[in-house]
Amino acid sequence: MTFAGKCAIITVYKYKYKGELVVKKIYLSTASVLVTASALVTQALAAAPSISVSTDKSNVSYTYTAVNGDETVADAAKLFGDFAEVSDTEYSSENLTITSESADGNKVEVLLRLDAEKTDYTYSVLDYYTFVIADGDGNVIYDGEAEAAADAQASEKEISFGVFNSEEAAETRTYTVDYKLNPEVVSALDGAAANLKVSIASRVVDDVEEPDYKVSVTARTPEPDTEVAEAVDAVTDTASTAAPEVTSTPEAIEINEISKVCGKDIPAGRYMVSGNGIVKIETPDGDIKDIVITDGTIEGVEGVDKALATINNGDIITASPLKGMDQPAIRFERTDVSAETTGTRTGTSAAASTVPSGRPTVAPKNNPKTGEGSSETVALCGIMAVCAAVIGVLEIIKRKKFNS
Amino acid sequence: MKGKITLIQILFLFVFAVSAFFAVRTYFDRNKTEKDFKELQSMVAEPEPEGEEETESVEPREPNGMLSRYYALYERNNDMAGWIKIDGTNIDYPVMYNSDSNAYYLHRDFDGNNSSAGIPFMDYQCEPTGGNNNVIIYAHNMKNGAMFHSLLQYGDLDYERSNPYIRFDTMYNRGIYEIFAVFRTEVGAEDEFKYYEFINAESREEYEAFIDNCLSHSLYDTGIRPEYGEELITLSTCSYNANNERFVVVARLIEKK
Repeated sequence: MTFAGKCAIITVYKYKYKGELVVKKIYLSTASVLVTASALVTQALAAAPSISVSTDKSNVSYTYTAVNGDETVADAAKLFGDFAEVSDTEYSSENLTITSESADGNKVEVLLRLDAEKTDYTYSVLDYYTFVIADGDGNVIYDGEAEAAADAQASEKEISFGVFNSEEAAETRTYTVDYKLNPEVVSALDGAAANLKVSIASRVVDDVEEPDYKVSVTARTPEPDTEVAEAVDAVTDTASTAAPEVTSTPEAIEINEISKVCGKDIPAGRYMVSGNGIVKIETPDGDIKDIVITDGTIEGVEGVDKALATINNGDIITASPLKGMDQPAIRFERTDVSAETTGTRTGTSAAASTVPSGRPTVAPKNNPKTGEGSSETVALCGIMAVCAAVIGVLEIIKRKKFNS
Repeated sequence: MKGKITLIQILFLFVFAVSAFFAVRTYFDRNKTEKDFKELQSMVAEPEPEGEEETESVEPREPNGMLSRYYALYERNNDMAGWIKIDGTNIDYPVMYNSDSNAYYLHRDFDGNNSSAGIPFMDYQCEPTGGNNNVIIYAHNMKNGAMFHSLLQYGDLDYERSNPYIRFDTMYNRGIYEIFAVFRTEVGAEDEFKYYEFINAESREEYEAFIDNCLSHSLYDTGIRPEYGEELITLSTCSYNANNERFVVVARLIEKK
């Protein structure tokens, strides 16, 4: 009998066999009980790590192991519809929603992986399709058209969606993946697509730098509204700066004149307002919002250094100078193209002088689970009850055995 | 032999103690949440009445246009988007906003620290300064009665008639909303009503379709139908009737200051 077997002996039941009392005993392994209890505790307190990928059409879910370096790969071809129907002139598009849950604090990198056999030709099967991937804000994070052709001997290509769970245990991001046939490669390697394997890979990583986001607005956004662009150029050209200089990027809209009309002089959207001046935003309904903006360089003026303002078509934005200034110097910086909020978190704000429509994302949206997580409490109570029962039973056995 | 049994008892006692520690910690975490919200409520600066006459007072504002009553809280966390209060319930909480996702404040408190109860938050696709056709606010349904647990009382028409209004203030405007629909819907079901995807209507038809859906799913008829263009507010929480079910209350704006 092993040590573990000797550790716990529980009397199960007594029965009569041929008139004699027979006692059946079951030997329990203490180690297995403790492992089970530990597993229950662990399971109760930590959700299993998982990745899920979904599109408007299908749902692919799989799990990854939590050991650094391990990765999980799942066939993703079905996420992209029927590749045979893809054109070489127009992009097909899929909206992906990727959710990564990593309660154990690991960061997870999610990638699109292409695997193909090596060829003896000039082109690689990895370039059979051209991919362009944009994140939920319309930022292009991968542009296959701008990338150099893969080596014909290359058998694998990875396109990173980014590192998840750097700050949150559960993180969801949306992406738009455009793809089409690469006409150069298709003509040379007709039929080779059958050898191309497309998959979603995920792996636990240490500190990995996020892919360098290329905000190629000119590459993927439609032509800007020329009327608005001309008006903005006119504002910048005629601006005279008697006011303190406000540093600005070429993309910011400088309002040094008296008033602008939203929809005509300035695009509708959400803006971070900064500089020096009094900004009045008047809606067509007559609602008025006054904001005093100051960067602190004007004495005796109290205000805020920046404020968020949403302006809609028809709103009239009037900027007037602060006391002691000849002219206002107000800067409207577009914030609803990127993820910048009211200033508590850093982020790139894509100030724009054109109409940045970005890429409309119609990704499926999750409805957050707002139920109380009672499973943890229930599991803990269950564990406590089991422990108490086992302690009690063992005590009874101990007393019976050693008192008799 | 006796020693070995005692050893096993000690090991199970250890597991019992660890479990009890975590269970007690969860209990105190919930109590702390209650205290924290009381502190936040005390930070709301109600404007002082002017003189003895009951005249309509002008709401004091900061230079940037924000309501002064909430400005101290806003300075503490710029993610604050407003305040929600429903008379007759214990719903009296700040509403947070994160433009990245709906997951951020699901299990975080006002200051962004981990909290099982979370805090009411606005849908990330909404515009926190206002101007949405539909503002969606989510919060947990806590079994101890906190967050949006009280919303479930609106399953009863008599209760709705006694408490028909929702007060929701953004950082710039105070608003009173009148409830017109209350419904349940199961996320992921074939007939799911995806109310959470409606923020701004592209057309009149889209707006009317949303209203039609709300009214057709409603548990009862309030006799109210919003007109095209009226601002709406949707409060969403989990219902424990079925797995993945949501309990939703929708109201229209009737007063804005």
